[in-house]
Amino acid sequence: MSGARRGSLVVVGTGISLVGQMTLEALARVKRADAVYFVVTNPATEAWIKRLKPSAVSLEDCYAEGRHRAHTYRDMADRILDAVRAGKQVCAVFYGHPGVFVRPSHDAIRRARREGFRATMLPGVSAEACLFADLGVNPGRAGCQSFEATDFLVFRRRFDPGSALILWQVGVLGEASVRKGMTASPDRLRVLTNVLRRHYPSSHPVTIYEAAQFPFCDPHIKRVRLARLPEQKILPTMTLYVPPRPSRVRDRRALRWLIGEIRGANGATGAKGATGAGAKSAGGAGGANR
Amino acid sequence: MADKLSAFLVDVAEDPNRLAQFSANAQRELDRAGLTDAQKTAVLTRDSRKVRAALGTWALAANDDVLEVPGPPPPPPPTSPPPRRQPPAKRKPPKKKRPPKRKRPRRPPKRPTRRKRAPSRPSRKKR
Ligand SMILES: C[S@@+](CC[C@H](N)C(=O)[O-])C[C@H]1O[C@@H](n2cnc3c(N)ncnc32)[C@H](O)[C@@H]1O
Repeated sequence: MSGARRGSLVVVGTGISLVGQMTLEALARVKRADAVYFVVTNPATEAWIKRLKPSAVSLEDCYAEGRHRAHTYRDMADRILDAVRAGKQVCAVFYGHPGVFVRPSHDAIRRARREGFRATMLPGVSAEACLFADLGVNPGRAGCQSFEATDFLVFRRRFDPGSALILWQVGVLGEASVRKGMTASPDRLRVLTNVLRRHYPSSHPVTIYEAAQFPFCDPHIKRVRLARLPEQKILPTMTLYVPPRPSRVRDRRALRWLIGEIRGANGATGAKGATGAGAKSAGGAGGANR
Repeated sequence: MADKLSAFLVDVAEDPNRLAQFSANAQRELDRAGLTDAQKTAVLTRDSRKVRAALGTWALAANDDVLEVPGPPPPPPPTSPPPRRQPPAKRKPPKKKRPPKRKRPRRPPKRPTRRKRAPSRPSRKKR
């Protein structure tokens, strides 16, 4: 065996709020890596990463005005992979959760694995995780659907208005490039609103949400009626939360079936329906944490 | 100058004691950090956007795909329906029951389950 070290890649997230939302595991990986590359949203996070690893390199220069995004992402992944190929233990850092609405992180991992390198991703705190905390949303209550806003419109995603709906990147709805100070165009918000109005009353409340990015800051939470959505100033760092419609119709057949199963599982010891699997699923249905 | 603000923010975020001191007397901590008046004002708002602006960035790492739509209304998807229909179409004659199976999540135990459940009902009657 040669003594040459084989390169590897680990992708980690910073969380949304500065410092406090990065996991200890991610922190250790940044410190331990031979090479660190990062894409973050503000100079304070950059300063912090450089404090952890002075040699860390920003990939921000991969962005250029008018440049096709696909090229930007490919460049990011290329630079990460070059270091892996050079035998380095590489750590790539992205903001939030590194795998949530981040293309170059997934690309880099896929390509590294294809080339035979060890490549892993560690979970991080996403904007959605912050939203659950700040808006008091329990996705276990009525379910939760998450879509990229443009994708939601263009592919006419089917969804259940009886479950919560989270729309990401509403601030860049239909935009191929991002400009300084941009907000969602009212015309495009109107299209989105019209689609949503097919499923919700116009008085349905929606929340425009922006998680705090610094530990002493408060989140921005603005509740408006759906009909007023087109008038809102929605920044690229905001997420739209649409709560479930209150009326949810129960499927009585499913209910009878489940009750039958549970009774079967809890019933007489000799009951044929009380299989191990049935008993387990009945226990699961009664989970106390929901 | 923004470097001082970045360093201050990281210090406060990293050290719970600094954060507590900041919470107790923000003005004193800001004076100590040697920030400009504009930076102090931004921090005192406790508004991420204002702090970000004082840092001199526009805070966007757009690293996910956004489909470009020329203008409303968005065009209907040309590619999404075929993949859904393809598998059932190939196996149409033997597996006509497939499409209802896919709808199960909406109406879970409809046709197949009713029949299966029939034997369990007599067992209730026995009780
Ligand atoms: C490219 S995605 C990156 C998401 C990030 N990786 C995460 O884990 O949250 C950008 C989108 O994330 C959401 N987002 C980012 N920062 C946010 C914040 N501070 N508050 C609310 N949503 C945010 C917005 O929907 C935004 O358009």
